[in-house]
Amino acid sequence: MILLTVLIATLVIAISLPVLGQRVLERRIVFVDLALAQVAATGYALGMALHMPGILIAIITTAIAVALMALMDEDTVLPKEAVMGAVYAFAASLGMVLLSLLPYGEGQLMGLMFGSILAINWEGIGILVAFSALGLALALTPHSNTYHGRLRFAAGLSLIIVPAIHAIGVLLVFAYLVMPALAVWRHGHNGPVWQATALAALASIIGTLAAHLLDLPPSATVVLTLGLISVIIGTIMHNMHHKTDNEKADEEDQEESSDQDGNKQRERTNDNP
Amino acid sequence: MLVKHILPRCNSMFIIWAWALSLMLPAQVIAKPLIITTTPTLAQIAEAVGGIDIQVKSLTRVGQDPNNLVPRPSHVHDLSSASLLFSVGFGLESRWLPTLIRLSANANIAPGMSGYFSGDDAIEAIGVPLGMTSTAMQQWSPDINPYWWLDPELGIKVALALAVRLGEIDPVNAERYKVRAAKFASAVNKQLPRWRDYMNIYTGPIITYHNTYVYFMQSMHIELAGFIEPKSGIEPSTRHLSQLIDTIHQKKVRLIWVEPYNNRAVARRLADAAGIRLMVLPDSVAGYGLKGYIGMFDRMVQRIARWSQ
Repeated sequence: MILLTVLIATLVIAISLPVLGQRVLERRIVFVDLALAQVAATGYALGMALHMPGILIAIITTAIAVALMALMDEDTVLPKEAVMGAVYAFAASLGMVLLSLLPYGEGQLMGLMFGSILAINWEGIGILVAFSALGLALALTPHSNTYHGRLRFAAGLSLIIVPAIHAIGVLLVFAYLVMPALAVWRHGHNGPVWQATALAALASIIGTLAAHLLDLPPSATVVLTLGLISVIIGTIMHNMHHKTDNEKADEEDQEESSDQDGNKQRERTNDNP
Repeated sequence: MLVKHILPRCNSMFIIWAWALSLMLPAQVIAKPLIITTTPTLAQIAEAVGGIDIQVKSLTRVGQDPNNLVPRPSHVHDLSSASLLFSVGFGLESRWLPTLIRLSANANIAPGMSGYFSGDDAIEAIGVPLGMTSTAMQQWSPDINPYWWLDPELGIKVALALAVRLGEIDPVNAERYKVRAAKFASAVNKQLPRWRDYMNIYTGPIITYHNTYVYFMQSMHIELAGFIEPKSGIEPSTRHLSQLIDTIHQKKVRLIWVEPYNNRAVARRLADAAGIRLMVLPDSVAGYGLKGYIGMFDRMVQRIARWSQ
């Protein structure tokens, strides 16, 4: 029964995260998920320490962070990854300091925000599906680099990422966001969505079953499987593309050379009336 | 004239000096040895043995995970003036205590010195828990189990050894420490049959998150049916959890115990999947000295009895 919920949960994120990861990779803000997760965790811990609902405070702090992040133009001269990394470090440290000031607040409260795939039940999967659908509906609308466009994307992203990390942990979410998208990455651009999704779903099934049969920790085993499959399939497809590209180039060369031959022949016929 | 002028001045100077000395001297006389403990329960044992003759401070608080402490300057400050550092030992504080000892620059509290006292100095590591099969034992955490303070008899052993060490540090009060430790021993021993009877009536086999309560279970003759996380800090496999569900049904386990500082989510999932209950069991409670230490077992026993009904 626990095996089944683990399998279904990894399949849910295999559908929702790779497509989102492609949008994230395109915008070059990979650390956004760590930053958002940390902001939420800081909010959650503060809520718990102040005897308020942790989830509510997490939603408020994440919403503020999203509104601020959307201020940053996508064509900013700042390295965006560095900004995301800085937000992560700042949020983590802010949480630590605030918790240390409270009489019974502890750093370990922050860990409560990061869930485990083993803990998810059917209700949790239902919530994950609902948030993923809502988040994808917001984040996958046509790209627009306006404040509204960026806000919509960041809101959609946080609606998927934050509940997912709360339910199944940061390791799986980060891996499913970037690994499949990287595996199908072609010529500096995103590859087909179906390929990334299929690859992730395959890793979910193989990884979960392998972990069960070999008696290994599921999160780490699924991530390892996803990594291996991404590298293998990514390399094969890269080579195939490379070949087809070379063949295309060869064909073009041949066409060019045959054109040149034709011209020469034409010239010769012209020369010899 | 001169004499008249100077004399009163000398007099007043003398009075100020005498006053200052009078402030300093008693201060030196009444300075009590400062005992720094790593956990609140050790502080209670130290208080029970040292009473009014020592000052006690704990580095961690009730409900805080003693495996992980984020060191702060105040911890270093406390340790730098400590006469004795009293730790659990067996690797429990190994992630953070060596750094704090080094930073304190107090050579006397380094391991092997007279100002360092831990569980290792008084007791042996754990034996085999009741009801554990050989295969279960192979899966069991290879770490030495450090949670000895949850066994009242080991608490007594350590208290008696602590009294001897305190007597070496503070020979004037050596006899008083021994008397208090003997009192501690008899008071805890007196309660022990009551706790055991209570547990005998109320509990069956139990599943716990980590190996934290193994000493307690041994002492109270409670059968251990398994751990949710057999290797500390490593996520259990789905197969392990399915096996646990089978064990729960076979052995008719009715309760899972979780430490206050461990993530309850996985334990709750297992409890729901198997249709049994989950309870948080304290590994320390607030309170002073002997009363606090006995109060911890009272609280544990009461909670377990209530949840087992």
